[in-house]
Amino acid sequence: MTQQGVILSRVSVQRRDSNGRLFTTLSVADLSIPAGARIGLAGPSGAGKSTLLDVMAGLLVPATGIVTWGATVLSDLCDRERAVWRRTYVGQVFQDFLLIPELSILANVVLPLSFSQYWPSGEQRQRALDLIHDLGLKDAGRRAAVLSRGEQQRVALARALILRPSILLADEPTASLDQASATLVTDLLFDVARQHQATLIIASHDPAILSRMDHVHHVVAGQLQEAS
Amino acid sequence: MNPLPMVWADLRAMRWSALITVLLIGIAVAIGVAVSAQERAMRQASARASDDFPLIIGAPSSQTQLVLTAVYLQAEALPLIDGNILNTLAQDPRVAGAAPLAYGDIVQGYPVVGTTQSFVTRWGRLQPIEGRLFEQENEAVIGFSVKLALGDAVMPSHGVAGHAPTPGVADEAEAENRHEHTQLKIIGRLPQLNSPWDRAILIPVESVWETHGLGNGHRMDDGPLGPPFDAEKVPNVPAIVVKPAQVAQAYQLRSTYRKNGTMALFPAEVLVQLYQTMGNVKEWLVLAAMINNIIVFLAILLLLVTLVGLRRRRYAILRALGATRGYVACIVGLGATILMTAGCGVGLVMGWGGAWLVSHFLTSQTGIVIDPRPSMDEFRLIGLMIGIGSLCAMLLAALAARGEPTTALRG
Repeated sequence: MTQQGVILSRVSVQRRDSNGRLFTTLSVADLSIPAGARIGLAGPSGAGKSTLLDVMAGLLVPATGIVTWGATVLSDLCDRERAVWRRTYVGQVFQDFLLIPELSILANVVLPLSFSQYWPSGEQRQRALDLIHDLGLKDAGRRAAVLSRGEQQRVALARALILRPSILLADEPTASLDQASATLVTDLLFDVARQHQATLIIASHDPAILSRMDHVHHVVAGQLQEAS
Repeated sequence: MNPLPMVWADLRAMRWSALITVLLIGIAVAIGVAVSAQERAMRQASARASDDFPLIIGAPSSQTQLVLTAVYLQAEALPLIDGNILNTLAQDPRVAGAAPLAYGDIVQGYPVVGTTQSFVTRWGRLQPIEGRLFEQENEAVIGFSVKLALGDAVMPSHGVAGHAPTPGVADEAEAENRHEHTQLKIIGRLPQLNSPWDRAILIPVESVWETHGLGNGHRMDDGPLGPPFDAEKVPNVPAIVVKPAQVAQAYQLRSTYRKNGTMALFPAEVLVQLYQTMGNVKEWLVLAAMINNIIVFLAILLLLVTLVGLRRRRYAILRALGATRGYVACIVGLGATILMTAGCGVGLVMGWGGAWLVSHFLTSQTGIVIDPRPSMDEFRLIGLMIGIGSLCAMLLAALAARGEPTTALRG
């Protein structure tokens, strides 16, 4: 496992409004997160937390600035290289899970493997089944469409962890979960991050999560505030 | 890379749309396949049925009608030619065989044809599979499909203009027009010829003449059947089928009998003219089928474009998880190709099935056994369709793979 920290330097993300005019949605002068750190991103809805996560995941290419993970400068990579980098190092958990409803729990979990290989190896399959079991999910053959929201979030988490990522990015991972499910998911995220010494970055409104972070950065109107 | 799980998930998600897509493509392709297979089968079957009729001589009238009546036994009154031509032909060294064909009567809807033994055996090529050939005026040999038994005695009826009898059915018109004084005994059955002659009842031409009060064509009442006929007593006949001794002589004979009140033709030549007409019709039908296919493909392409648009978020998820644009394009392209290939496969089966059903119906109507078989023509058509489908699939794939995933993910 390669430990990786991230450095954002003079990053800005721009979009066009309905009149076609460019406006800046995110501006980060300088942000440095050490490898293995647990960092929270707080702030009101629409402030730019998800955009910042997208930039760090290499999903969104900033208009200006540089994003560097370890020795990798994301802006130097082409679209295909960023996709390969992302699936190799990044585990992402989305607020609304983003499962494939027609696939089973197991098939959803091993889906990222199909981007680079034909079938999962026996060891990978066993790891998927172990993750499913550890997250308290029963019957890995059930389709994602029939799962409760809590179960869906746990499947999404297992999918994010299947490739043992060194970077874990989570966007409001407990927003739509009940207290018990939220606690389970949060505990697992922190456990996995600790076990794999992964860098964990979570965007959340949940004080219970933010209180467990090493640092919390506030994002307000696209601007990064000082850490608390 | 393994796109199959996602292709499966996509097809499952759009199962009803997928089913309709496959059916629509199937129907569109089936029309083209059926037209092609049916036309080819009819052409082959009609050509096969005319094999035993190298040259036909009749009175000047419609060439097509003479072929339809003489070869395909389509009931129609033909003008007559001098029966003495039979004697002339019998002495002509250019002729290997000549036989009269006398039509007009029916038995239980089956056409009764008066001819000679030598034509019944197709100049020695055939032998009855049951019983024997006729040796007396009141004996009859039946075609393979005639539902009568050896030993049955039947009474022929005069065919009525405008009345189309149904083979195997003795209807009211037949009952009203019986030749009460003539009785025929079934004494033999011919092998299957896969032509309308399988439904014919063959009797000595002398019997036809006698039945219609024209004598028997011979000087003696109880002389042997067949040629030579008496020059003064031989009645006129509707048609004579001639087997030329050699190919070159066939053309000479045709030339000879194209004048002096007769018409001579090669049925194959008339069929070629018919095929040219049919060919033109086929070309138009194939063109119509192709336009139909293009319209259906465009409609399906639009449907799939809409579906891909609705699935932008789904593909953005894959991109977010680390899939390349190539992977997404592969899923969409493969899914669309599977649908179009499945549709073409269904169309192929439906087309052949349709051609088989139509052939079955035509066989029951005409007696010509039409047997549509798969051919490279259909595979070429399917190949073209799959090629067009794959191009459409590539367009879709390019459409699905473009754009930034965050736009679709965050709306």
